[in-house]
Amino acid sequence: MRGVFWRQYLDWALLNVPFYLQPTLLTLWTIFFFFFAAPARRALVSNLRFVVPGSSRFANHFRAFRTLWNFAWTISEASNYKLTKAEYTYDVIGEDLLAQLATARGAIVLTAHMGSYDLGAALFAQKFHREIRMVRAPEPDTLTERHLVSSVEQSGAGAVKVDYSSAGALLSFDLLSALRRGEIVSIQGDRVIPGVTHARGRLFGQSIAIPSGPFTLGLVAQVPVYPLFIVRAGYRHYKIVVRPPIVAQRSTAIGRDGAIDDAVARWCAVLEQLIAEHWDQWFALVPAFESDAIS
Amino acid sequence: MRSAERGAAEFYFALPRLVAHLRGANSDRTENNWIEANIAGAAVMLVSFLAISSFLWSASTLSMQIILLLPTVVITWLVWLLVLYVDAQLIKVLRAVGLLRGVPNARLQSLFISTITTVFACYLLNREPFLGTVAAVWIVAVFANLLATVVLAFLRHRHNAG
Repeated sequence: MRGVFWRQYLDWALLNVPFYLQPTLLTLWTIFFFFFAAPARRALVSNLRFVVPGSSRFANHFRAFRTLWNFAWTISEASNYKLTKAEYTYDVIGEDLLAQLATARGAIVLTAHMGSYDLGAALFAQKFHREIRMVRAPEPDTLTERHLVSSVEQSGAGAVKVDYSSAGALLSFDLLSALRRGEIVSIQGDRVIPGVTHARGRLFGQSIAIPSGPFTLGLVAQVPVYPLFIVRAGYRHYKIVVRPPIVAQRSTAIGRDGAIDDAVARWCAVLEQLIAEHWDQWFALVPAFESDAIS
Repeated sequence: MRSAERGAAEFYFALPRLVAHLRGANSDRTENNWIEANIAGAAVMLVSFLAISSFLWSASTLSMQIILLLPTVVITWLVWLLVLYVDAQLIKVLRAVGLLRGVPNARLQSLFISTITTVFACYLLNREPFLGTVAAVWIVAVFANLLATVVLAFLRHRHNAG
């Protein structure tokens, strides 16, 4: 289920299938993936156990279906924007914060695997005429990865440049330079891949590994970290949610590690609130919590 | 959707556009219309599902029909995937011989889809009263939409001339 075929098929369908047949076909494909993409389904059911306290495993299968359905919509709509520049409407929650971010001289946008982050980056770059460096975890399949990167860069009309979180120390220096030049760097802060430095956070009462890179960068470059989420709010309609920036500040009392731990804790609080509100759009298709990852 | 398509009065669903026009409301409808996107697609699937199930289940008992319900949904889905693929190849051939080059693929597909669904509806017309009613509603809606297309094209022509 990881091959590039599915992405290519999606692109083909968006160009060849009339818009009114897309919702029905998309639902049927979601049913197909619900049964055949078993690892993703299991991961969603397992994560939902903590996100929706007291929920039954049976009910969480329906929630997992809803999440996969939303995932199908968001990747379809992002591809549609890339291919046809289809029109989307969006509301902004935290308009003043978004305006601050748009004019910031160097800032980190911290987001999650939630809603349509690819579409969001493209819309942001287009609206504010700003370039974005997007750091993302590489896909397990190389061809899929190439397809995704080319999609994101095409959607952003050259204003969105993709880097990989697995690139190591060289990328950190590169991003630091970019921030010091006043650029915006977007990072996904809810998943850690092997080899990436991380900190421990707590989400829904569970221990979770959070990439510490964004906070270290923010601390060193002395730039704010803006939590920003793009949530699907309806048919071709999105909600951009911006939360007050997290500024990691070093002090003699808590030191560098203390400052990062504090920033991670604040990020976890924001993330928990957003996931609780929009659990059906948290596309954590791998076990997110450490207790699950170990078992 | 490209701006040229947005401006076309005949775009996909002319009937609701004409109704809006006659009521003096904004008739510039787009693909962003959630109701049109969902109702039309569901209607296509319903008519084709009923036609396929009517064909497959004609001699089946009620218990057999219940067993066949889910496989028929899958068959209907697969039929449409195949139809869309064959239509796409047909469109390629048409383009290769120099026909319909200015029309987007999705709009040509829409023409094929409505024709095939209307064939399914014609098959249903002489079946049980419920199936016949669904088929009749589809056929009337298709022809009303075609008529609305002509009327809107005429109104647009008159507006441009005036």
